[in-house]
Amino acid sequence: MRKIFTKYVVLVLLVLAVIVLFQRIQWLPSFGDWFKSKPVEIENTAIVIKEINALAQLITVTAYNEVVIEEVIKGGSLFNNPVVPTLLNVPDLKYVNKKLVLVGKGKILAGVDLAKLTDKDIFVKGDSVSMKLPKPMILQVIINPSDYDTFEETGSWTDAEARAVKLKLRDKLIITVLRQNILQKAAAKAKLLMENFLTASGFKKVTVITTPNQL
Amino acid sequence: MFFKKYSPVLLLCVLCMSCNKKEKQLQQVMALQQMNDLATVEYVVTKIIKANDNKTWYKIGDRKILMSCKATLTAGIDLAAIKPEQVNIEGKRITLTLPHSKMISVNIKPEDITEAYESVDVLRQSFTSQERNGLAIQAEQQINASIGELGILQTAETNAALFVNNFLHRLGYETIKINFDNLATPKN
Repeated sequence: MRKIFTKYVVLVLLVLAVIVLFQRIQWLPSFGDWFKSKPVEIENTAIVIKEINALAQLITVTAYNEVVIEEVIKGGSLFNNPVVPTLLNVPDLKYVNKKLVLVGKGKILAGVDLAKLTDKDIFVKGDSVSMKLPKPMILQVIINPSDYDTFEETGSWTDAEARAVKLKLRDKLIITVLRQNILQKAAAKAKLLMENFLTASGFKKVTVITTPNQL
Repeated sequence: MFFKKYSPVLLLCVLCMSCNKKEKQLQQVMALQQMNDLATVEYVVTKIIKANDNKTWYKIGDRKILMSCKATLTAGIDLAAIKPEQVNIEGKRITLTLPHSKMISVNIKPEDITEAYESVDVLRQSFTSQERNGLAIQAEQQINASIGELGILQTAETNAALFVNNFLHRLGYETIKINFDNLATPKN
C-alpha cells in the first residue's frame, strides 16, 4: 500500500516537474500568466510631420538630474452645500484624498542660439575676428514619458491633473539644474568652441565675447 | 530507488527554476556633460495614441482611450568632429568637410500629450495616470523607431551646410565649398 502511494506521489511530482520544465522553455504558458492582465497595446498609427524648422543652436552643456514631486489633492465634501450636514445633523463626509508621487529623470540642454547673431556681432579685419555671442539659455528641457516613474498613485487622477503635476516636476528640474550654474558653463564652453572653430577657419587673432545671462 | 532513478530530472528542473535571475545593470549618468552639437533642424511630429483594453478574458467590459501626442525631434552635427585637416583655405576660398548629422533629442513635453476621448464600461475602472503614461511610452518608442523614415538627418545636413556657408560668408570668405565626411555614416 505504502509502495503504491509513494509511486503515485513520485509520478505526480514528475508530471509537475515536466510541466515546470516546459513552462521554463516556454512550451507551455505559466500558471501566473493565465490570470495576468494582458498589457494594453497601442495601435501603430501614422506619424504626421507638422512643422520643419531650421535651427542654429549651439548646444554646449547637457545636465542630467532626477527629481521627485509629491502632490496631494484633498477630497472635497460629499455635499455641494456646506450647510447641508448641519441641517441634516450628519457629519461632513468627504471624498478620499488623492496622492501622486512621481520620480522624473530629465535632461536639460543649454547653449547659445546662433540664429540671434547679427552683422553687428561679427567684426572682421584681415586675419582678426571679433565676435559677440548671444546670451546662453536653456534650449530644451527633456522629460519624456519613459523618464517618469510613478512611485505612488491613489485616487483617480484626471489627465489634466496628472499633467499639472508633471509640469511642476519639470519646473523643479529646471530650478535644480540652474543651481549647478549650467548657463555660465554653457557660455564658457560656447566661447571655447567658437574660438576653436574660428581659428580652424584661418583667423590668427580671435576674440569671442559672451553676453552674461540675467536671471 | 525511484528517487534515485529520477533524481537527475528533478535536479534539472530545480536548476532551470533557479537560473532565471538576471543581474540588473546599474545606470550611471554624468550630472553635467559637455557637448559640441550644432542643432540645425527641428521636426514637430504628431501621433494619435489609440488603445483598446479588451484582451484580458476575465475582465468584463471594455476600456478605450484616444490621446494625441506631439514630439519635437532635433538633429544636427557635432562641431568638435571638424579636424584642422578637414579645413582647406586658399585666400578667400575655403573648403570644409563637416561630419554627418546625428539625432540630438526627441522631446515629448507633458503639455503635448492630451487625452481626447475615453470610454469606460460600468464594470471597469478608468485609466490611471500610470497607465496613460504607459501608453505614451509606447508612442515614444514608435516615434523613436520611425526616425529613420522621416528624413530628418538629411534635412539636418542641408541646414548645417547652409548655416556654415552663411556664417563663413559673413567672415569674409567668397568661395565656400562644404562637403560631408564620406568615411563616417549618419547615426541616429
